[in-house]
Amino acid sequence: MNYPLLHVSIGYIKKHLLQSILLLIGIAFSVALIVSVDIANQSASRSFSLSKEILSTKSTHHILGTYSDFDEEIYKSLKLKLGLKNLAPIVEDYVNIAELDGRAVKLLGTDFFADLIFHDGQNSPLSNLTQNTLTELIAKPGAALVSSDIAQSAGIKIGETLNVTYGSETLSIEIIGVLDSQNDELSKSLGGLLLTDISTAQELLGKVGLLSQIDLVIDEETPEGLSALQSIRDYLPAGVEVKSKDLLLGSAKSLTRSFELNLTALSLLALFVGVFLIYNIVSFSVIQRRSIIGTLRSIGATRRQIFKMIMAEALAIGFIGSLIGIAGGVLLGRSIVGLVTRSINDLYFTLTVSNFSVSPETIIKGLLAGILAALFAALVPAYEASSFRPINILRRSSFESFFLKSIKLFGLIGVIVIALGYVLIILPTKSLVLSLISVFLILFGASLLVPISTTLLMKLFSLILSPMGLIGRMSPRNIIRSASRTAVAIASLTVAISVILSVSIMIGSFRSTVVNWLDSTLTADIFISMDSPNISSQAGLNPKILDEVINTSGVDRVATVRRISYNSPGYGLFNLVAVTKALATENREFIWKEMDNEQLWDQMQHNSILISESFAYRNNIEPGPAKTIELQTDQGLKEFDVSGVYYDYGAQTGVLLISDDLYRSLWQDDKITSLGVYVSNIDHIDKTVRELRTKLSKYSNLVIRSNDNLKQSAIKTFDRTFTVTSALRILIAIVAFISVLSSLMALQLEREREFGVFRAIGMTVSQLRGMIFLENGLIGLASGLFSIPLGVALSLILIYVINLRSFGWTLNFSIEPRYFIEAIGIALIASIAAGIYPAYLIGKEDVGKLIREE
Amino acid sequence: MRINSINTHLIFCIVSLLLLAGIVISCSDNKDSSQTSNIAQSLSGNDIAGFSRADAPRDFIFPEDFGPHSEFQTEWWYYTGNLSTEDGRDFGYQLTFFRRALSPDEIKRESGWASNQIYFAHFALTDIKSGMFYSSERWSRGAAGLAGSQSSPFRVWIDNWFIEGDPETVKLKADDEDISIELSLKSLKPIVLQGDQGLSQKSSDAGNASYYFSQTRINSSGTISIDGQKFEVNGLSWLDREWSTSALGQDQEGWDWFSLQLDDGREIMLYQLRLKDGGMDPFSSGSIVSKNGKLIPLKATDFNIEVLDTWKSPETGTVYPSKWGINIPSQNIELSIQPLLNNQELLVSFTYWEGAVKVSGNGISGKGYVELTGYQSQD
Amino acid sequence: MPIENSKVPISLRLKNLSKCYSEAGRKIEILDNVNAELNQGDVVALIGKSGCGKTTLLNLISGIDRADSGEIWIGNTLLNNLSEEELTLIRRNRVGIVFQFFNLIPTLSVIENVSLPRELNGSQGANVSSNAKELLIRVGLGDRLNSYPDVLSGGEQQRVAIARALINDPDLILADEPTGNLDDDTAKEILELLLSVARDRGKTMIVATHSSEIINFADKLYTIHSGNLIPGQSGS
Repeated sequence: MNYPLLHVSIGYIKKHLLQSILLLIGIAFSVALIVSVDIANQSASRSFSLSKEILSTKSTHHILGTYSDFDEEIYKSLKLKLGLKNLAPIVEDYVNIAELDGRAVKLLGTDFFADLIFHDGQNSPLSNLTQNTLTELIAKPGAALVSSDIAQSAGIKIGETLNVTYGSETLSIEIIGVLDSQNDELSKSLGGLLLTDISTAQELLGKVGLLSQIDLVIDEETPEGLSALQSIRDYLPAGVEVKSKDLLLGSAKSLTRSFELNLTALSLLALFVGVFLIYNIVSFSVIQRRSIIGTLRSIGATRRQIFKMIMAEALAIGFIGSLIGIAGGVLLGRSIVGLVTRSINDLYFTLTVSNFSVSPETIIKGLLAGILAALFAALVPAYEASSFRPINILRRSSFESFFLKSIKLFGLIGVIVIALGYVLIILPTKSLVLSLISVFLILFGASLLVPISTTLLMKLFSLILSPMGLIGRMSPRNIIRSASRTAVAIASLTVAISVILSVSIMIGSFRSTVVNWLDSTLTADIFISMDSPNISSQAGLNPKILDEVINTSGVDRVATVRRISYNSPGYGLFNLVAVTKALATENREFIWKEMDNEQLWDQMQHNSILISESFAYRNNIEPGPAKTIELQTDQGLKEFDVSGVYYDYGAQTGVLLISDDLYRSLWQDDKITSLGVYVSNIDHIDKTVRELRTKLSKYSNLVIRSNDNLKQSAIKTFDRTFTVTSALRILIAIVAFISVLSSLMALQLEREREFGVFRAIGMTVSQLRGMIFLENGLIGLASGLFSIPLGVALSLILIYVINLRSFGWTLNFSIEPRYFIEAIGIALIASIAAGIYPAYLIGKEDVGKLIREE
Repeated sequence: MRINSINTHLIFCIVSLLLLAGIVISCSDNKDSSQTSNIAQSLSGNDIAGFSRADAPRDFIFPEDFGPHSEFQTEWWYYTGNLSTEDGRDFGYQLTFFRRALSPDEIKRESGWASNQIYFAHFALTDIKSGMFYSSERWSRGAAGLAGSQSSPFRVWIDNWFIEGDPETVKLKADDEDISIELSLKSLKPIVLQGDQGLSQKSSDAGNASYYFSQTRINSSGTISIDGQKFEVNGLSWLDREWSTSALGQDQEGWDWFSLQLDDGREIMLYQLRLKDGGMDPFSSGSIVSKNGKLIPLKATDFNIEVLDTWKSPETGTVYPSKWGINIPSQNIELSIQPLLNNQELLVSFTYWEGAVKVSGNGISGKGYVELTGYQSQD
Repeated sequence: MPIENSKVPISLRLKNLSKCYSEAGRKIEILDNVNAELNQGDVVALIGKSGCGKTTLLNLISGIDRADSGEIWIGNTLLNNLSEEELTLIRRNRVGIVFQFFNLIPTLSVIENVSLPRELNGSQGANVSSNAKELLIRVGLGDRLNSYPDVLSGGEQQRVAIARALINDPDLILADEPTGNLDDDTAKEILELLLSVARDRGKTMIVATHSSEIINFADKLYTIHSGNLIPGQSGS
């Protein structure tokens, strides 16, 4: 852009600072959302890999048990018999720090002399330790190093004892040092960690003779590496596997991918709304300057120069807005990271490291998103500006009439785009990305339908309002007349409100489904479980507790649950849950079952298992007879019949339900994850709870809760999972609000002259204000009305397509009138709020000046 | 074999603990013992309280004394030897196992990994013809079957490196990426007790000494392989067994240690402790073992070692002596010692020079091993 | 309606009227102690150079702008003390304005444009539209009642504006360069129309113009020169 035109731009921006600020805020908000969600997603997966890389950044492979720890002899044999080097044995599990609100941390023990760790000198977190500490760490029972984040938040000092809970035990750990690293990358991975010698970890966790994991370095690129890998595979007993770290990370990422993808989609929606906002403001800036632009054109500025001028402004504002957005996104990201990490902890696996890292890619993404959105949105207004001919500059209406002529075409394209979106949904695929694309297509198509729908609706309003007289008739017509902008404002508001509405319906449906499910599943009167259980932990309750509970007065019968985390080659990560009869079939809601409950339970004593819907979905098991599942047990590989598929909204990883007897006969495990107690007299529940509490007070980390209590806490966890979604929903609403505010404000402000005429021919200020609010109200109402069918359609997609594809859950669609009231309410508030400033100005403006223009 | 040349703090801690506090002091002979001992304690950062001390002559019992003495802090099994193939290709080897106790008493614990004993070992091969030197190391805790030592049957091992057998005849085996060794050893002479009946006094302070015995002439045969090439070899090995609880002399810089096997059937062991001021510690000593196995002790004043040449390591820049003249006037022995290969510097967690040498002199010839420590610049 | 609506012979009285603007920190005395008295039915031509204060004077009379000092009487109503709201009502009911740029409301049809000031008064229904229709027939647009302004020619738009100015049967018609945006022939037609509707109904009318055409038809002539209102004298 040449120098004089630059002056024109700067002069304009200076004069209309409010517009520019709103534009900046709009872009900044959209970019901030994208950046913060990207940070949250990246940080979450970074947290996962970091928590796997605590000690050895070099390791390429892990040897893991399919569902449990394995014999330490395997390590010895790999070293002594296979002569392997670059190994490190690891014993670990998650423990909770009661003082820190039950925060889950990893207790990890390893052999510091294992060559993989010993020689990983530069990266070792041990490099800052004194020799005394090291000696103590190895030789002193119960000694551990604590990561600095724990030390800080628990306020624990060297030499003090930290009590952590593991299952129903309390472990006393002597803190002999704090882990710290000069290495920035490494110090990030050192969060949420209690590091001990391998012997200490075995003793504390009751895993003497067992290992949780062996880390190793194998170069799969070389023939030696491949043959080593093969020899390991040949050697390892069934149920123990060697897996590449990338593969493990990949499978963990694929689990959380859906979750993260959904968040990304929400953040893109914000950008989508942001584009409308930019369009509105840029096109307003063009209209405001039509006489300047006309003058420029008539004194020789080319169309190209005008186009470039408008695009350059968009670029500049887009750039600055993106920068602000990136800064804001980083700030926002901090809180979102916490929420995302928490959700992952609730839904997928325990993360002890809450990493917060901002990658350059995130910054670039945010910058590109902001700038491209600004440039894209400015295209049409810039074209409009460049096509002003000096002669009909004064006729904004020529563009409006062009727009009005095109609305049918827009509508047609909209219908086609929606149809395309619909086709994508009904395609027989499980692709989440496709379904998200179709959501965008439908939103885009619906936006294209907005102009024609607005025209029709406003004509209708004009009829309905005609008893109000000319103002009533005029307002809808005014909206049609400026359709190129009112329709865009309505579209952006419609999109935003429909997203908010659909997310509300989805969460509401989800919640009511979960509540129903809890009601039917949680049948016992009292539940005894570990406080703050970790989804990935194998810890359990002391089996002695069972006897004590049974022998408590008022207890009729007791059901047990044992849950272990499984990672099998065939079925990925899932939970194996062993239950006794009361919890197995009685109140379960089945998608399909082979026989009646009584027979089912009989079969489950022998060879049958039940699977959850998400397990079936993820493993492509069609509910129906003659399906089997092969599982590694302590008795070797066993084949089980799938005798039923049931609804489950617990852990997202999928559940395989087995009878307790069958489980105990095939697995050597006597631990219990939780107990369900049925009382003989329901009126004495509180008394029984008290009695159990007294009786079991010698065990730590136990929670004894009544049915209601447990349900409440389950629902609390559920609500927590959707905190992020709800938060993003509000942020989208903010972007939409700014968008509507700026566009409607611009629309009214540019009618100054018209208002002057109204005033001159005798319209009072309050009449004029009434008209402004009426028009804005109609716009809000239109958006609210349009958003209802669109929002419901989107919620159907969310519930029946996206949720199913993301989580393998079928939800019952449930709708409440308040969602619609909310939707229309938000739309009305936003649009009417947008009228406040213009209405205020009306009273201030000098009518003579208004009409003297031109 | 690649070992990270940047030693970590961890390695530094343990190595300094083991090698400086252990080896140097056990070989040292310092008059100002009480002071040295304290400083050494703080340097090593480790309390020797609770450990047994080598404070009086003891009755050696074999084969039990081949096994570990866990009540002492430091202990080693030190095999070196010169080997050659039928057609006269010469090799040198070193296979050394070290034991270090982190605390005096072993606490009874559930976990099989629990241990207060640390083992590490160095394995080196010198291929004189091709001028190549290889070194490698192993570290382990003395637990979980990964490393340990025992007397009956005698065995000391880390991973798959081991020495085992009835102490008169043992098998040793070690390998790494490029090199391996497997030897059968048979002692040709009775065990000799160094120092005063096996008590090798390091200073006037009681207990600042080690128990020390050697097998000075061990017939050795077996195979070594280098880069996949196998060699059938025969030759002589030397064993030093030593255990102690001691500390380092602050004024000592390092030592030069010689074990020489003369073709006339005699063996000579000498060490001199170098002081930081450039002088020689008066507690340096040695011994001569006669053809029939009789031990003649040597005091520092009985011998004189003169450095005739030096060699600078291209890897570490350290300058080591590379030729010596040794004079033992009382025995009318004048020797010239020269490395069979200049570069026999071990690039393991702790850098030092240990290598095969050839001996020549007034009607005397032979081979041996020399160890040189403390030459690298301290920072 | 607080304003007394009785007709009096004196239709408009300006007394010692002054108005100044600040421009670039300098005070410009645009109207300086202006006095005038118009009788019912007077058609007055207000002439003067561009920027001399014609529009300012009309704006003061219509209550769009306020004077710095002096009095404006429409009939026996003194504008000075009226509120913004009251001024709007005066404008709506007792003054009809015709602008140079017509200023029709684009979203209202011709008949709706004419009815608007009446509807703003709260009146609605058949009565209003028949009045409007009557007026539109009078201005020669009986066949364009439901057209929208954007399809009308400039002359036609100004005819609609004239009809709009008359809908509330005002005492006073103010026309600010009503022909300034029209070609000569149309200008003549419009001027004739304005004069005839004013004379038919006995309205007092002030036509601000720089064209001399009107001078021949006007009852009185005023020239604004250096802030002074000079009766009878044409500048040219």
